[in-house]
Amino acid sequence: MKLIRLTLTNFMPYKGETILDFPQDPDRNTLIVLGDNMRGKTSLLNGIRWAFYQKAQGRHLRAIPLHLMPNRDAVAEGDWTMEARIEFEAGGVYYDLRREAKKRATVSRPDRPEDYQVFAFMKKDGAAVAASDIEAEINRFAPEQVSRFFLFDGELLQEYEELLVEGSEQGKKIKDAIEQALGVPALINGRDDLQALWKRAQKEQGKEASLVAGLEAVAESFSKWSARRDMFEADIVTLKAQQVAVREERRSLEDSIAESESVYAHKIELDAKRERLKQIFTGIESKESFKRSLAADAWRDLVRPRLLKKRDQLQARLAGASKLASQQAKLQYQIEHLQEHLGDSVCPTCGQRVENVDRAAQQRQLDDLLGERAALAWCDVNSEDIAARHRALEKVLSTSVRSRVRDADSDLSNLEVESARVESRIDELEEELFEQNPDAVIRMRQRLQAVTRDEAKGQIEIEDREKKLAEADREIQSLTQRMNARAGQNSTRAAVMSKIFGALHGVFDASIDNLRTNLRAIVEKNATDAFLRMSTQKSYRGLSINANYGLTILGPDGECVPLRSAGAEQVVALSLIDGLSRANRAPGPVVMDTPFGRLDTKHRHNILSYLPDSARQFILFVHDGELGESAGMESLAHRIGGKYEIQEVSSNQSRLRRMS
Amino acid sequence: MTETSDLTQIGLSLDGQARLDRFKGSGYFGELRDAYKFAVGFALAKGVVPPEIQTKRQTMFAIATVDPDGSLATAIRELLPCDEVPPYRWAERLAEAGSQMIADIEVTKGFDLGSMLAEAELPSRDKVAER
Repeated sequence: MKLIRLTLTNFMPYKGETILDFPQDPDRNTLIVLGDNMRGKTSLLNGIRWAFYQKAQGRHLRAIPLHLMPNRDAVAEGDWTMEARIEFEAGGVYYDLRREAKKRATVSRPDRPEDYQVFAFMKKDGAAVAASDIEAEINRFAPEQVSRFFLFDGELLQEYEELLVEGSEQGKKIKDAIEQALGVPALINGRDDLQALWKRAQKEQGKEASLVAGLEAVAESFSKWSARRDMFEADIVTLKAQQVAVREERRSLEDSIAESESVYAHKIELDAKRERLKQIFTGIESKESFKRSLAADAWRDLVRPRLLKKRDQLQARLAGASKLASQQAKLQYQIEHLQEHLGDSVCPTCGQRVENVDRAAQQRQLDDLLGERAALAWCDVNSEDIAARHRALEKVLSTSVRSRVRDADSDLSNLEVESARVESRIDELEEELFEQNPDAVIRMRQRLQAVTRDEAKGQIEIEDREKKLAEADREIQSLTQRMNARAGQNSTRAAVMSKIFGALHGVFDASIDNLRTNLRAIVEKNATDAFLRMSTQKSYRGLSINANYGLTILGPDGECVPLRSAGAEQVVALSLIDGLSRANRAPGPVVMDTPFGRLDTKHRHNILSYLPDSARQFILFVHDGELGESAGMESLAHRIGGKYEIQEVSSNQSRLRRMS
Repeated sequence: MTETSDLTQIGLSLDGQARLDRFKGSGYFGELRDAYKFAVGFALAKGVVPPEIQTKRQTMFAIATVDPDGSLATAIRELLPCDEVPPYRWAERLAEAGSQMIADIEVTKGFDLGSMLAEAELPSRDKVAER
């Protein structure tokens, strides 16, 4: 198959008519569509999907309801018609497939999928194909089950990584989808039909056995186990249906929560900011209170400079008083010495007699000293009084609060700045949350927790019933064998049918295993070829496939490489898709939406070198970060047959511009 | 120096009291007595030699409450002549004058304890010659 042109009309963000021409030159078979996130890359992929299969996928690969698909601006103008048209060539025949959705005439403003009617038209080499034959015609070259191998996005790639998680629910689902595409269901359905027939025959055989002498007890036991098996089967059907509902609710909650993530984040931030504001106010109050306590002694700091001067003066006076006391003591000593000398005619030092002439001189000296002492006494001060004043002043000066007031002011200033900032942010958040309901998001999160628990519990119950069912099956087989042994040559019709259906069931079972094993081997080989071309690690030997179609990288010595980077996971997933695609169909187009999110430049280069060779057409919807001029475009340059850019017109509208 | 007999209870004019009440009410001080002492200190720091209170004076605090360790009296004694006017009589006059000055600042610049303390550190031309 080869795509020729996609024409969208009022399809999602593309108002009016939008045309995308696919490259037709086999040497330049790559088409690049560049667009920012949210601009409409996935809508182009959905345009192709909707044209072929009347389906569009949103997040988590869930179907987008039809009434949400027509362009909003067109709808606002009263135009409710939407169309996707794909022209392609397959098996040498030109096809023109057009799918159109129109508002039902009886509906004034459609707000449900049922409010629209969808019409499909197909022309084959110009001749109209009957509406009832269109699906069969599409299935000839692009059955829907296979679409996941040529129409896929980054999210689907990520989903394929789940295949490696043994026993994961998602992995099982993808495995079923893969087998569906690979044709295994034909055998599985045959086996299931045979199993139903076999059970019916077994029951008949049990009924007949109850009439045979000696087999009554076996028949009764068979009847009981058969009833239990029916009960377990019914339980499993009910539980699985419940699980589907629970899972659907869980996914819906996850989507809603993801959509309202910013509301939730804002609510959390708002609560935190409000709490912080309370703390700031408490801090301010506490600092103010501390400052008030400091104010009790602040008067001391006010008078401090003047009192310090006073203290210095007192210290100087104390020093003077000390010097005076020392002089007085010295004079006193000299006076006392002379007075003693004058009262005695013998020198107290040398013991010689003192002459009268000397005595007169000494008396004059004594008179001078006494005069000097009298003068000092005149200058005397009360040093004790000065010392007491000094001590009292020191006590006043011993307390200072100035530095603590300054620190408190600084803290207060910081808190006030922060409070202004926090209040401003709170205003912003309140504005953003205006008319939103953050409490609903919180309730959704709580509900999600409950639903997740229910889902896990439901899974356990299903596994329990499956075990019991297996036990009932074993018992029934054993009882059937006993009935068969007893019947010997005189088998009834029911016994014979039971044997035949049992044997056929075994054949189908084995065939399914064989087919799976063969398919896995083919997929493993194809995926390994692709992986070795795309991986940058040349020492890897290849890939090993598991029962779920999950792939493990084999190291240089054939050992499993347990840890893989996100980029390697993506290369493995791409290899698997390529391997599955080539196991199942002739080369056709590969359309990829935003697939390179986690890939480094080298891997991107390898993939971009490989896929244009592997596919008949290689269509890439990417953003600048994935594939800009500096991010891998050069690997493709010689293969590019067309290049478009998605331009924003408004929040509801985008348009395609051809660049080359 | 001989001091004449001093007060055992000190107070302020009614206007002065109203000013202190406002200071406390505005959250500048935890207690009225703290505002009272701050007003005294403020006037002392500015070198004011205040006249006697002319209007009716009303007692507010016992001395033991407002100046339990006598520090305020010590400061006044050092900065003002206390032979004829004893320290706590000066205190009343200083509180009266100081509270008025603070009230004026409050109106013009706003009350800011930190700034007032910082300003007190700066040399002032208004200060009277030290004893």
